[in-house]
Amino acid sequence: MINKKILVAVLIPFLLLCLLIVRAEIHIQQGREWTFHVQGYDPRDLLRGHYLRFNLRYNWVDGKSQCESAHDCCLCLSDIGEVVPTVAKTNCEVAQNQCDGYIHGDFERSLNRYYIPENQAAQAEQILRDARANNDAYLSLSINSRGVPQITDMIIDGESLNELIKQLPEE
Amino acid sequence: MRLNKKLSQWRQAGLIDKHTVQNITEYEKSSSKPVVLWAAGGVGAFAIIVGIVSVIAANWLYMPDEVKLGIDLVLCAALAFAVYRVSSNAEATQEKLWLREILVFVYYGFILASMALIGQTYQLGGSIATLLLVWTIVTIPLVLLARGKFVAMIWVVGAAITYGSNIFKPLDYASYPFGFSRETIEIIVYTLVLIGPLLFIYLSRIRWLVRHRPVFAEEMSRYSWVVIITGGFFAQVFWYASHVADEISTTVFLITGVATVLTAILVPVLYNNSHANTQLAMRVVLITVFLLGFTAIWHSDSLNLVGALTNIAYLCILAWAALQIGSTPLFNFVTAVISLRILFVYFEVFGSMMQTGLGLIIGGILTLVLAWLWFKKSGNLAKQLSSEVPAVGGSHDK
Repeated sequence: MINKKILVAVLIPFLLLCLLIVRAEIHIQQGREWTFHVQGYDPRDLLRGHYLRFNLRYNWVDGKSQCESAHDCCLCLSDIGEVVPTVAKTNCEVAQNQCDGYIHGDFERSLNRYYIPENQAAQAEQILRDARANNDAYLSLSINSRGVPQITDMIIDGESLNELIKQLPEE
Repeated sequence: MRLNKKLSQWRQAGLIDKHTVQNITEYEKSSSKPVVLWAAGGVGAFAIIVGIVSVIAANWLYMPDEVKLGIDLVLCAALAFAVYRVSSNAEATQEKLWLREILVFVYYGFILASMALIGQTYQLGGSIATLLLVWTIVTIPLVLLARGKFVAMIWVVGAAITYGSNIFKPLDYASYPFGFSRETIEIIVYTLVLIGPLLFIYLSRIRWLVRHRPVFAEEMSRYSWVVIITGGFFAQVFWYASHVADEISTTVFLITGVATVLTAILVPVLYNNSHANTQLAMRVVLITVFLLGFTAIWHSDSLNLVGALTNIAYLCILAWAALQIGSTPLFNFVTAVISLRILFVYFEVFGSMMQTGLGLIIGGILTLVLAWLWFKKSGNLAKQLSSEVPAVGGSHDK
């Protein structure tokens, strides 16, 4: 005989994990892919814990890098056929209705770190430094219809950073 | 072996008969923990887990994400199944109870590790605070399957860390709903910091929890009181700083005061199984801790000696409270701390004299006198003061 209460208690955490995976996969599948330049964060602290830290360098539309209101601010993305889109700050209603894509202001702050395996950390850091110096580092995002971005990859000289790291000898 | 030897000695001395020896032996057999079995099993399981983790770690980079997540889910499902089987088993032997505690604990920790793995695999940008919050909430039904102190303690500590890491998040937002200003949000946040232990006390007194998970309720209550008492001890720090009131809103302290007084009033309801003396001790400690903190913020210059003396007074109140709840070990501990504190007061006030031989001699004599007084007198003082207090009953004993 099945004890329902105990079954529910043990299943809830397991179902949560499944839900997290499904949600992330759906986000990637249904979102649109965008690419942005990666620029420096703090050259003395590029690597923090298991994360590469960086800032994104946006291709701003002239005069559009500030929002009128701090609590209603989104990034409007326009696909101009280049690798990176043009970006303008505007209110979220305009961004949602008139732009090719948009990033909600609340989520922009999370786009500054990329997890890497610890035993390849220093080499990954060096790869990113060199690529930034050559202007050849990009971050690939999947952005859904609600303006929520999710990092899918870091591209260095046309190749995925994870693939580049696999080719390196371990430290 | 040792038990059998003792039983044999007692039987030869005529203290117990053959029947009693048999009863004791059978009882010990049925309630004993299979320590050797668990030790061997634990070492073996640990070696397997370390081996698996090592293999995974060595090949982490080359393992596709699907494989990583697949292995994780399979292990998680296996743990969930194991917890279900053991928890559903009505047979409540010591062995089964231990197994359930360990499995619930391992599963509880594994969920957090799995959430972190998913976050890293998909480069999800959420904060650690959010991760902890979700983890703490979804594992509540799971940890309530356990019955022992260990899992209860782990969850309480985890919940406290989650509470602490999330409480300041509203301060990161640029705007707030319902027209709340940043100042209002700051007042709410800092008030929640101060009354956090009170909230955990209320949680620990939920009727269902007290009745069906008494160990869990007891542990949550115990740690809440530990935080409150520790907070009272460190209230002296305010006297060492200056212009403290400039940094902390008066409104925060007033709301905290109302919450403290309300809790003090409700102590007989919250701890209705505790003796009246224990309830009185709780009320006095609550009010004292609040007053210590509240009165310490209004000075302009640092007043170290006042801080030290109020601290000693607080410790004396704690010693009294220890006797009220009938805990001689706690009383002895607090009186030992009082002795040490007096020493520190001496060093604080006469610290400059430590550079002279005379200062050192006086300090050394004071140390020896206090140590002698404590060792000689504290036990008798506890007995004497205890005999003046009616015997304490009730379930709550910190």
